[in-house]
Amino acid sequence: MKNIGAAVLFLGLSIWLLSIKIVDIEGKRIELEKAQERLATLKSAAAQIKLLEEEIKTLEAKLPELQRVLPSEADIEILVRKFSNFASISGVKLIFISSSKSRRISSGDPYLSWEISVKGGTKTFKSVLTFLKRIKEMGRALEPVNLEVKFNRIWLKKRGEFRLLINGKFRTFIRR
Amino acid sequence: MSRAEEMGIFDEEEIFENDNEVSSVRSRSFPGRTLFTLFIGLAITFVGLRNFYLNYALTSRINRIREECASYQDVEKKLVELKRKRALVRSMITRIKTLQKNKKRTIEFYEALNTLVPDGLVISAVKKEKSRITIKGYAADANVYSSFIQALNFSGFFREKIEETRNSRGEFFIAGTFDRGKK
Repeated sequence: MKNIGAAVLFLGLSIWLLSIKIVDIEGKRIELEKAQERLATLKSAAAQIKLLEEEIKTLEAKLPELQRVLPSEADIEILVRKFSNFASISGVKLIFISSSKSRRISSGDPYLSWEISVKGGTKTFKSVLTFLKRIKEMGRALEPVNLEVKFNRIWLKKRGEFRLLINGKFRTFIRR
Repeated sequence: MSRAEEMGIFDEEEIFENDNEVSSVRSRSFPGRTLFTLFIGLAITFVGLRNFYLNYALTSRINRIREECASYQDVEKKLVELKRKRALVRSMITRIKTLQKNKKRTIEFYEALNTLVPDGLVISAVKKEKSRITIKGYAADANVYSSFIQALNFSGFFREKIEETRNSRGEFFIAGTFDRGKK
């Protein structure tokens, strides 16, 4: 009976020493914190998914309406004919008109960039403006990437004959 | 009774007159010491066992969380995929809108230029290349030229103040960044 205290003390010390040797409480706590953080990240990601899906749905609903202004590949020819038509109506003599695919095509892009190059001559700036106005009023989306008007020895508002040169490059997208 | 006895001071020798008496006192203090050692031993045992229990509890909690995380394994992939899709749809919308807006805005600039040019000023070339606009021409009168520059600056078609130079013969060169307007 006398040594019971010593025995328990020895046992306690052995258990305690074993526990500090085997168990890494601090490490486990850090591990737990990391796991909790990861779970929180995943939970917020899961919540984001619903919002994103909603947003994509709304955006995709807008898209068909907007895409109507983009021509198809077959429409490019019609556009070129329209340009010629606008030119003759406006009094612009077309020197050159061509259309070509843009060289920069990245994979995964649903659109192909298409360019229409126009070169023409006319006598009045008003003709140029009429020509441009026709293009502006056209339903198709065409961005004038480059547009140059050169006046040969003329006053902008001078009466009489003079020569103007238009050189333009218009860009649009077509769906693949 | 001696003086020391009167004052309550005793020598150990006098109290425990023989070894047997000392031994009997020592044996009487045994339960206190044992209990103390027992208590310390139990406390240390408790701490050691508590450590094992904490380890077990933390490990099982970590495992539960990991299992829960595993149920979300596709979430991150899906999120990346959706973000990519959103970026694509957004870029498609932006591109179409940009085409429309730029078409309108560029032609409006040429229309506005017709009204902005004052009498006495000649334009020999107007060029819009991507977002840069250059105008070349001739203006004999400095006042006419400065009023044209002012009109251009206030037209809203230029993002910043335009750069301009005019030589002694009246030939000028104007350049500026085209403002595509509000998004």
